[in-house]
Amino acid sequence: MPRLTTLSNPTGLKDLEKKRVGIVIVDQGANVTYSLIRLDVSDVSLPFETRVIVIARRGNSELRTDHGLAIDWNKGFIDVSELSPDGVWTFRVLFVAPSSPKLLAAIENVRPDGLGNSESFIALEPADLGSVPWELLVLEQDGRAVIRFNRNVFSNAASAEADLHFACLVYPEAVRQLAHWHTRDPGTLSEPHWEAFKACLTLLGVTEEPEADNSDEEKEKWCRAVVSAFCERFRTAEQLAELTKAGGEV
Amino acid sequence: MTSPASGSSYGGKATWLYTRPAFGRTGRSLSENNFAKEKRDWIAILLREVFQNGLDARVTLDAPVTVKISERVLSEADAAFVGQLITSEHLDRFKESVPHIHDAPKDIRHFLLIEDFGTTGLMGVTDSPDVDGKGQNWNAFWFREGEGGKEHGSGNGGAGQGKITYFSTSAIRTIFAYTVRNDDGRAALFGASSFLRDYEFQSRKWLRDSYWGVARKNEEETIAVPTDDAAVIKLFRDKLGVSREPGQTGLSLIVPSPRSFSTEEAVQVTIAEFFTPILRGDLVVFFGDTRLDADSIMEMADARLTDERARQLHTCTTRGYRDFVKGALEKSRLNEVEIVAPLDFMSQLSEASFTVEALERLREAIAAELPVAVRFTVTVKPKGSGQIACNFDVHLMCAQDLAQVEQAIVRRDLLIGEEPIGGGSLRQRARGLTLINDIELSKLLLSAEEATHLRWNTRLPRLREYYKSGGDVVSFVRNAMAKLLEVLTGGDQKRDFKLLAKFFPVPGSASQLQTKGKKSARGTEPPILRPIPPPTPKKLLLQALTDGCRVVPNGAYAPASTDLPIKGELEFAYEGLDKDAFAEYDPLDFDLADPSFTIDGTNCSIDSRVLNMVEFTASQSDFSLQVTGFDTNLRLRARLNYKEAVDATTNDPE
Repeated sequence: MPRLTTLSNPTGLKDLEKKRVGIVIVDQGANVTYSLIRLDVSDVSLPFETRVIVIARRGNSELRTDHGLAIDWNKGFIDVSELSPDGVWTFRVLFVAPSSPKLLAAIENVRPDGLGNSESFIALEPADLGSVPWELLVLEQDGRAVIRFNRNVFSNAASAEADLHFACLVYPEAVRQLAHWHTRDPGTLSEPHWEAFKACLTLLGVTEEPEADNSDEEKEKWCRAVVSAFCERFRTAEQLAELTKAGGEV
Repeated sequence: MTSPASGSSYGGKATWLYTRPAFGRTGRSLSENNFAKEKRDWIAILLREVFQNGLDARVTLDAPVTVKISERVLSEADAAFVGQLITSEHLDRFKESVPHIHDAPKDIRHFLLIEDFGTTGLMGVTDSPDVDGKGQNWNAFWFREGEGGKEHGSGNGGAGQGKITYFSTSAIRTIFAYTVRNDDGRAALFGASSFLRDYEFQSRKWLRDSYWGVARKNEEETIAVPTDDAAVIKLFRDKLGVSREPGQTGLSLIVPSPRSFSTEEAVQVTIAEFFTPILRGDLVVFFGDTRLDADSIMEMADARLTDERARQLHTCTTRGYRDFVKGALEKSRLNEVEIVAPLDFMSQLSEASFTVEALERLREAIAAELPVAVRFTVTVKPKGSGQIACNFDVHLMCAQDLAQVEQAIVRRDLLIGEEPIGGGSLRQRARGLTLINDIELSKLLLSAEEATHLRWNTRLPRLREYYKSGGDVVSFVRNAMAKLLEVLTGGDQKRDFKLLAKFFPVPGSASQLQTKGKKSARGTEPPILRPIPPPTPKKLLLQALTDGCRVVPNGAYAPASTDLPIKGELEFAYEGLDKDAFAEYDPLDFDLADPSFTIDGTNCSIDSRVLNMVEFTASQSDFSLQVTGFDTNLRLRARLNYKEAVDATTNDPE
């Protein structure tokens, strides 16, 4: 029996591609947040005052959040801890006309980045380092860096990643070293292959960049600001305190 | 208490027998300190003792051990009966043993009843406390400390200290036991107190242990023996609500004035710590009317034990881990394990310990976050006899989404809750289970177990007393899981650009690394592609309108006269969010029977218009059907199924 289907579109709703958005989820145990880190509708004809609504879903629960104007949306982290602890994360990104319930465009079934298949611009790698526990290697041409850890301490990357003490103590310092590396030639932050690090800074709320003619003190201040934002985002000191209270259990 | 002497084979009335110390030290028992664990509540310690004793006394492997735990609060009338069991003098003596406690109970009405069925009961001689050896459970339970009938056995218990937990559960440190024995079928009723310390009463020193039974001369001293008076036992059973019937072997313990007992907490602890024997069908537990058995444990665990609660109880029995254990038990049962050649020490485990194929299989499974099972062989060297090769299984599964490591060691039925320690701890996110079922290996590990059976201690004298190199065997078992994971993941020495994605994400990136998963059985062989047949043009067209849709013939492919009449079903649904619109249709959305909908047909008849469907028959090739009147603010999805007068011939794919 032949079958035909059709879909009317009386309101002219635009179905946009998933690749136009990027959503990251940060799961810190009881504290789960997401951020709409990327949104590209520059080639879509939308009114200037179009607002972005994101609906986060998990299980049978959902949370609707207004992210503001599409041209300058809120990239902050939205708390979704109250949603169901089980199920698959999916997101709807809706574009609505100002002061109207009418939907202008929608991106459906968006899966967050960072769940399973996304990449990091800082890698972990076991290495023969003698008595040195770890070091940071900056891959200038790739716009990436590698935390090389002593293989006598952790046999592989998964072991190092699972160690919360390692995370709390090493990652902030790795961020500081990477920030410091950029202060030596602030122009690198504008290079396309360092876009990931720059986007990470934006996510952390660090919008200022060091200038070539900054004093050493000013550059150091910027590095501290980066580390501070990173630690605040991932509650580093709080986590370390919890580990200490728990008698070192992880 | 009234006890007709004529009914007892021992004769005489049951009463309390208090003992004066002989020449030597007096003081307090220290074994109780062994059970004061920061990470285990008293209920967990008690239940561990109850279940392990029941499982060790199992009559047959064909039937499970059933343990029933319930509370009894006696009426005013029945409370008078208790006064005959627990006399005012007994309470006075208890008070003298704890002069610092001012609220010692006076009115004993509240009891905890712990009964096991499918067990042997307390067997062995009951009238000679001097007799030791295998099967002398009666003397071991009542008269031994630090050793007993299970000494150097292969069961779950054997330290000979656990019974202290029953006394410490009672506010007056007193228990009564009614047992029906599997060896001679006889019933016995007995009681005992184990006060905290030796005490002074009426200006004389008395030993902390006293016994309730029938006094009897044994050589130069007076001992207490149990009463088997049927009338006394019946009165005891009836008044205290003991459910054991005469002839039902096993042990019923009655604990007067028990500590505050929460059934919910007891259920949670039981699931968390005894999940394995219950799931295997070895143990059935009743808390009042709540039943935990092999059929219900998974569902009960999901409902009663949250992951957070399991961790609070210092176990890893989370929902994910329970599923993992279920699969692991099945694999071990079916021997679906990779075998490792015997090693002297676990440090010798390397890639060379496996065949190339086995190593590849295991690594593939680990990379794909699938469970693996490996069987190790270790040599046990009992003193005075030959070496014995013993097996145990290690199950592992990596799971990057785990919040924390989940690993456990189960020896026979017991979760060795604080093992593995030190180098045996997993150091990356993974689930692990070490299963020890081998009797000889279990005996050795039991010799190394501390009294609570929560961890091994290679320096315990018993281990050296019975085994050569016992400590090495303990280390071998303890470290097997971590070493295996190290070997299986050790080859993974690459730079990893995925693990830190949650800290340092590359926006919009998808890893270039190959997605983990099983290899195809056909390897990299390209699939055979068959030519795709060209599509058959449809004879009708479905056109969307602003407020509905239209069905018309499809131009040059319009139905011929031989295709007519065509019967069609046209369905509508407002496009929902991202779900199947037709599945989401609700009659409250719209009903086509409503006259506000316009259905115009030319050269076709409308057979029905109900809810979201219009059925029609097109009789001529130049027909048209138009349905309008839908909400113009919503997208409308339309679906047409039609059937021609004669079925079309099947396309030949060749």
